[in-house]
Amino acid sequence: MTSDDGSDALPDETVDGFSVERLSDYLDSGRTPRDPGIEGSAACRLYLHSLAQVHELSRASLEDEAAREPDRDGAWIGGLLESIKKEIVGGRRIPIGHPDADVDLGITEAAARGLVRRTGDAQSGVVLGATTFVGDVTAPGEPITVEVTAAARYGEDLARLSDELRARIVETLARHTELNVVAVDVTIDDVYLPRREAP
Amino acid sequence: MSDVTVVQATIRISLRATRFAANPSPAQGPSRPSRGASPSTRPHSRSGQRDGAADEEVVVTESRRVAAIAAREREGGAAITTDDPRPDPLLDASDATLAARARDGDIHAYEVIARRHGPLMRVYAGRLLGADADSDDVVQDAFLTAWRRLADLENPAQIRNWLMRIVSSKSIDRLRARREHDDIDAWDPPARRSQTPDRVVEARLQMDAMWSALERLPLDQRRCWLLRETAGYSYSEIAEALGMSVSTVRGRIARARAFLITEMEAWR
Repeated sequence: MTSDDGSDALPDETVDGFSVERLSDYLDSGRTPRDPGIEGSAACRLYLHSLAQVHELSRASLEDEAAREPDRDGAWIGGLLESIKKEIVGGRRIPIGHPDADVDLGITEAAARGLVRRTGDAQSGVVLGATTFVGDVTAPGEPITVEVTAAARYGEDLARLSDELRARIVETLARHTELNVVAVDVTIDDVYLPRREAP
Repeated sequence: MSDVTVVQATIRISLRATRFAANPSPAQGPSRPSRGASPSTRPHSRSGQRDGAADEEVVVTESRRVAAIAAREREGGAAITTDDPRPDPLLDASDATLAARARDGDIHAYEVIARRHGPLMRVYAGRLLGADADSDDVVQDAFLTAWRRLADLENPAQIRNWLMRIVSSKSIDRLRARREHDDIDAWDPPARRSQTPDRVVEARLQMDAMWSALERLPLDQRRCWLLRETAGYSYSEIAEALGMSVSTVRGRIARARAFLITEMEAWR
């Protein structure tokens, strides 16, 4: 390890007759398929143990350092959000009827998704995931199926939870849009443990 | 679907009204499909009462809420006493859930992702670049690029590794740009290898020892090592990214490995 950096020469170190390069590749492959020669050598097993430790600590030490860093996030996250807000894509336009023919009302698909997310988030024990409107939302009266994914808090009654979520979504969309919602498909695709209980 | 509950909604929706007539609308508003909600469940549905807030307003409201929650967390996680029905549920959500929402355009979910993984990305970028000076810029740029490419994210649960790769690539771009302007030796400081192993032994924690060892790795070796171990780059990807041969990459990683194993021997 004392050779000049940049040279292409590999340090030809070996452990019990096996090159460290080979041992490293073996570790990277999850020690499968099992190599009886390597596994039969105490020195090789020790080397693999050290190497695995170094691999693990490489990332862990970065995470440890990140956790210890003073909170400087405000600056760059603020800048990030400013940039992103300028790039919001509204998606399809969902028309809303009005008696006055001169009035052109509509709501963006993104805003409608936001409504669905919010009504889901207001329900205890669930965090809404993706929201998809299947059907032509731009045409008034077209049948629309709402597909949502959601994470449920551990221990919740999933049937009750999805029934309530479905009802909330139907209610919210009926209140704020004219979408002809014919079905709300709820897929619970994750379960989460609360980080802390609400006070 | 008959047991509809009343939602205590205080949502501002986006109404982009071109030529919107501000005269009071009929109480019924525009004709509505009747399925689902009974009329009594939507007492505020007169269109004249709708706020004409744009998408952005929803967003701003949300990020203020996050900032407030983050501030409370810094103060020791005090109980949340605003009118929020519950603490921000997204703080409990998995990366997969947050990524799915972010892909739908939920800026707040993306902010939670950024706060969750940003610190690690910054430390990582700092180690790759060799100085922390540019790491904020690089990470901000990486998160912006990631936002634009969220549709390409195949497995939302893997968003952290995916972000790590984007940060890697942005860091490498930064290195290339530097190289065009500066003499390499001017920013690639010589390895501080004179420190004795005693210094490491003195370190209280194994983590400190590893951090210190990574710091003392020569930058070129450290970059190869971190790209491989932290971002999961293959040898050929590293070679291409850093503009060197695969055998050079192998050599540098081999030296880094030997160095780190030696440094960490005391902790075996």
